[in-house]
Amino acid sequence: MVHLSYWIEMIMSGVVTGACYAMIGAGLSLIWGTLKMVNLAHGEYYMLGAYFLWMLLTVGNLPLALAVIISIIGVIFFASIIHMAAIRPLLRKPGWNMSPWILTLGIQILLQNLALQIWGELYRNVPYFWSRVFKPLGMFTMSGQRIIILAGTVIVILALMYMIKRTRLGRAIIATSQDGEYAMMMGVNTKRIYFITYVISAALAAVAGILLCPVYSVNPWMGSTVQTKGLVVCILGGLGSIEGAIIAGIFMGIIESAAVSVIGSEWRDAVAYIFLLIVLYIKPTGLFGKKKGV
Amino acid sequence: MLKVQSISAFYGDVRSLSDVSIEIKTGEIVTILGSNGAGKTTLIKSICSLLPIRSGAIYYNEERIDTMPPYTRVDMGISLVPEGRRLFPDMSVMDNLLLGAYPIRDKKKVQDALDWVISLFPWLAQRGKQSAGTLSGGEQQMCAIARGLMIRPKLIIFDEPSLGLAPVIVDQIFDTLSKISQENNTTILLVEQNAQTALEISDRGYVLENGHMVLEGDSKTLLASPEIQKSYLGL
Repeated sequence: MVHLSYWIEMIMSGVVTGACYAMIGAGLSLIWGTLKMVNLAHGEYYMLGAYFLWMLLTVGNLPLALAVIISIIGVIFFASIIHMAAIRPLLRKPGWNMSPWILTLGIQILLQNLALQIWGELYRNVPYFWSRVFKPLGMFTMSGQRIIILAGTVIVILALMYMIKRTRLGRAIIATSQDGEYAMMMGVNTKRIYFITYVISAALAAVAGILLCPVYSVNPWMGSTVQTKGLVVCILGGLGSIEGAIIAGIFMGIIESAAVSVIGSEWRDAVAYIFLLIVLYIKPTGLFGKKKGV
Repeated sequence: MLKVQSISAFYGDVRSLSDVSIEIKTGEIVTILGSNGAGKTTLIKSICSLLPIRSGAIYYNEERIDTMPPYTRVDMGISLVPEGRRLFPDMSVMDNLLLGAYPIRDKKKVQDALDWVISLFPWLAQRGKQSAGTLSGGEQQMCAIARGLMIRPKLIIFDEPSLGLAPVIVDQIFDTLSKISQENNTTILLVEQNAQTALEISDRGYVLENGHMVLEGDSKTLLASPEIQKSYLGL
């Protein structure tokens, strides 16, 4: 029994990390599919979400629910400004295949250093939202925070999928990603769709940061690792495929967690990238990617 | 209804339309003929603001529209059925149709429009869930027409609806076009290479060549004219 519970705990821990990768990856995939750009500053929205929450809780002494809502709104506001000021002027202009890399890398460096200036290099801690520890079936332990992370991710991802598959806005987003020119002829204001997509993705990253910051800690560089993993998950799932990114994210979380238990924690990232290489060697479009037609 | 006033447009650095004028009155079916590269698609893109024009102006019901962004067209009642059918291939047939009704927020009106296009193409009802990219060429064209009709347009523009389709299907599609025009008094702008079929259902026609308007007139006169017979009908 001890053995089995060990494995269950390992898988659950992988699923929790994976849930975070899934949210980051889904956001990156959404941006990739619609705006046709890589957002290297995506992890910074994760970082900002966490810092905003930490500030509101410790400095502002706000109740948790309110602090969470304000943090998300804060990130949405921030992402809106960045989209309007930096991304929109370049969007779909000549050089768009290259400019987002440089632009968003710049934003990444700017935001990280801004965070360093404002909040310092000290690692900050946010208390667990729910400090109870559960022992389901008496087999393995699971903290309340991890249950909240899982529940929160499931709700957010289901809401995202519903929005994309079933609503008028979702149809407009898919149409814009498939053929922006003719989406406009259907009456879709594609500029607005680009804006909305960018902000939704940023909000997803913020939610991930908010949910996970009690488990990890808050620091100016916390976005970088998540950023890279998000990109890996995006490619693994098939670029532009949101479902792919979600499944690949959870998969990646479990694989990493298994690698840590079996080989050792220093192999965590190596195993993740080796897995990516193997998948790309066998299926270059990623696990769920489609071959693009003409 | 639609007035294109001596417009010029460029594709990159190449002038693809020079000093082109057309006029369409309410309820008319007007055909624009031209071979590949004559500037037909450029003309349509100019009317839809997908391509900026360098000079001239475009009026719709006396209102200047060439300066307005493309997505305002459907609000005015102008619908485009694009060349090569250009459905959204990874979306289902139903989602494509619903997207056609994008500007309509009233769910009941959307349902009415859906019922109407399904009465025109009954097979759409069973195929709603299928992804549009897997339809046959003729089905895609009909689906694109149905999508274009979802807003109950006042003016509908068809970019080469017969391209790459079997003659039986072409006849079927042109029958539908004349039906739409008669029953709803919808104005139709038809851009075609298939001169015979297009001129048979239309009231007037224009001929584009190398970006210039070279000929215009009644469809009957055009069908009988030696230039058309030589270049388009192979007589």
